[in-house]
Amino acid sequence: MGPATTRRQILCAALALVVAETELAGSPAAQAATTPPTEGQVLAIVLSIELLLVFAYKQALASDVLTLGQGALFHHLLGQEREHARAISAELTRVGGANPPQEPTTIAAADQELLNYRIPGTFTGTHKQKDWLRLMVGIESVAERAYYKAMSTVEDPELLRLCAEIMANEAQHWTLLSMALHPTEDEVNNWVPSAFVEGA
Amino acid sequence: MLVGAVVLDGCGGGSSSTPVLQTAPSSDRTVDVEILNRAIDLEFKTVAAYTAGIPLLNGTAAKAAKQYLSQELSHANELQGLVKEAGGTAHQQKAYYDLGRPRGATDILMLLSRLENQQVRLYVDQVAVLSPGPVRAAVSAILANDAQHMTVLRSALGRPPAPTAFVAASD
Repeated sequence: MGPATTRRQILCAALALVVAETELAGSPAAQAATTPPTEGQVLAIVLSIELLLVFAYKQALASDVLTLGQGALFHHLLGQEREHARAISAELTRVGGANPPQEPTTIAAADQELLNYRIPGTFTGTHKQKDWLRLMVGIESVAERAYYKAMSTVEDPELLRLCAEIMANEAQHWTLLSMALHPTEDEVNNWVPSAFVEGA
Repeated sequence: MLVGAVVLDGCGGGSSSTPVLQTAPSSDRTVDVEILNRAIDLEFKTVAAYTAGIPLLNGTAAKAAKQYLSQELSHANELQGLVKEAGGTAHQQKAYYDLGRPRGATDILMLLSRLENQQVRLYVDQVAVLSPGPVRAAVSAILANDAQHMTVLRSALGRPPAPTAFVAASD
């Protein structure tokens, strides 16, 4: 089983987690994809998104358009995403997951993942600090969603706890990015807009 | 006498095209009720803290606190609903909560931050014990929101807003 097959499996499982709420829910493809995923598939999905986050934060830091403050924030969040990826990767190995997802190696591959997850924006089209903040908010939203769904699928108590701890941290990331995107007092309500975090 | 409860097990809080009926033993529902009522007590204590503390806050902190008060009330209401669905009696807001003697904005922010942290810890510690499906999904959504509150409150206090990658692991 090569990486391409694994990526297809991941995307099919990802569809099972996220497509039910979209306008495609009635399509035959969506019907086929709504079989609940296994724990290994769930871990593969969240790991895939964590690796996309790692790639994205690295690209943003390399872009040279971030202010000193935002650069420090992105550096901090990158560190935490790396910790998430390591922890999830270890769990995936523990449950016997083969061919774990890898971090995107090209901009084109990363842009394709944005498209697959229906995240607005592209890496190629992101040039200013505000663009990076919006893009990261979009990816963090998908991460929140993936963990939210994982909480309903996973049964292992330690894994549930881990997913809960990470989901909470991704929500914190979302808020920190929103605080940077909406820095004035008038925009405070954008920092934590909803009482129930379910992601996008 | 409760002999069991039939619950829908779907995909988290969203709709599922293939819901699966499961029978949850009444002991599981009793455990849910107990944990959810502990959470309700904490949510209402946090509501009381926001209510008492907002007049001592200014500017951005006051604005944020007003929004979070409303969100905490939503959490309490949601949890009460889940308790009722589980066949239990939901705890109500008490007439009095011992909030200590906060004297100014900093004390209030520290109190609120502490209460939000307690909520996050409770949810992280108990989420695996709760019934899968709507209960666990709702608690996950609330837990993440309380973590967001913690971030803003810590930021207002000049503390690292998201110090750990695994929230509640060491906070």
